[in-house]
Amino acid sequence: MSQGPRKGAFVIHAFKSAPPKDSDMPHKHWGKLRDAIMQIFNENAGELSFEELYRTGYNMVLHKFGDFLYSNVENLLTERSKELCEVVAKTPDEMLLQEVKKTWHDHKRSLTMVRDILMYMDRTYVKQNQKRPVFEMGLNVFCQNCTRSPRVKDRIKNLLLQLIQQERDGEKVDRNLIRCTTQMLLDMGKVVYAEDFERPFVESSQHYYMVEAQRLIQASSTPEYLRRAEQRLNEEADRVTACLSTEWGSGSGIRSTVEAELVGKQMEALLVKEGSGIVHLLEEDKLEDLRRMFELFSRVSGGPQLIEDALADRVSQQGREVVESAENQTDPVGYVKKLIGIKDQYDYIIRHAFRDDKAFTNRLHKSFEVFVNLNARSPEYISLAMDAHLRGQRKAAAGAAAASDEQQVEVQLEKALQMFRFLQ
Amino acid sequence: MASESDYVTLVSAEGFEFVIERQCALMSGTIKAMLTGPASYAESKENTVTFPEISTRILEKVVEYFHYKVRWSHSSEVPEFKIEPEIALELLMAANFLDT
Repeated sequence: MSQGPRKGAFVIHAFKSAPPKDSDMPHKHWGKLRDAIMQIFNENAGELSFEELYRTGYNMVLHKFGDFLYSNVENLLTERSKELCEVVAKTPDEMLLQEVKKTWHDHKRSLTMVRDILMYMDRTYVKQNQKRPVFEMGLNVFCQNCTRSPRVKDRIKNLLLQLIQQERDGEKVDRNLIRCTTQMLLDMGKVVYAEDFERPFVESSQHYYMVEAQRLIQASSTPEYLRRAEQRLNEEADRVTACLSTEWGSGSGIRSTVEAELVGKQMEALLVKEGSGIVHLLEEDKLEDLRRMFELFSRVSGGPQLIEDALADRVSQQGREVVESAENQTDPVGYVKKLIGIKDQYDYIIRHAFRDDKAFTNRLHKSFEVFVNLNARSPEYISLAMDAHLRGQRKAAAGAAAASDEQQVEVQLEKALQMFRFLQ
Repeated sequence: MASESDYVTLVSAEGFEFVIERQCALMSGTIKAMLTGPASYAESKENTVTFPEISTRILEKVVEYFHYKVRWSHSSEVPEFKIEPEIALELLMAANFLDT
């Protein structure tokens, strides 16, 4: 440097060549950037020098023309979005979604490149003035001028819903297309997505499944209906995860809506159906169907309660028959045996179809308490029966019978003892 | 032309070429965007970046910083990076430009 190396002293030279303050400079620079951005939009970026463009942006911001640059960029993007919108709006319905997808994809790409060039502005000007960063601003502008423009917005929504309905009716549709479109809506903002797509989707789903449920309930028996309902639910869950950007269990309510329509509103009808309702299923030991019913009803609040009520009613009815029938009064052992039989049957059902639900077991016991005590002579019968069993046991021990015989008698005693517990 | 070649060239205002490892160059946000962005700018094709506004001296120091950073990125005990005060201002401007 020019002064001698005196300890600790140094000279900081003035910046070499401060560029002359050219009032035309911002316009010239902007012109250059504008041309470059147009090239990018036309997929012609290979010729450009990133460094030069970046430096241009840098210089503009450095010389306090950040404002100028930002608003010009915004205008340019708005113009561009409007142009794109024109093209999209003209395409016929069958090609609309594809066209939108392509346009969106290209636009995102161009936008990324523009953002890269203007990164300096993003880092300094945008931060200092709390503006939206370039990329976000571009998405927003596109959203307002293109996807939400009156001629395009509703068409997209209707086409999407139509595709989904077609798939529900069994046709094969292009899931990828649906996915890309919903992803695009989501990219533009959660609010946009919720309003423009999610809400109409949930509404149309509700309507569709309401109609479906009514149709099915007329046409099929309970087990059949349950099978179809389960199938539909699985289908819908799969569809939502595969091609929509909504979560199946999300707050949008799609899951609860479908469940309410298919299951919730039809629960009572299913239980009392002639010839295939709950009574029939219990009598015929249709464990598979009972289990399915339980699983489906559990998804809706109050569902299992209804099954429990129906079960209790049936048990009480059966129990009462036994307790009040005349012939059983003369055969105490048979009487007790029948009661035990009923209990065994229902224990089995509860364990295999209702997941051993404690509430169900308790309800069963309560019902038993009620009808066992209806007959004043129940205690007498039960003790007579136990007596007979014990005598049988002694005989078995004396006659060196097989160990299993003895065990069997033990088990019978246990069960008779259970009956005792129901007495009051 | 391998797009993932190991070395990139940085050219200063005076035409000096610095050949450094790609990994080092990517320490600069600007250079990273140039070379790895979705587009194929002229730079990424040739793996060369020109800086007509950065002088040789400064660019040399910047390259030295890249190596320093790569070397000491994950350590806690780090030796000092010596900066001559005379170039400090220009170095600051360059660093700001390059986002490094």
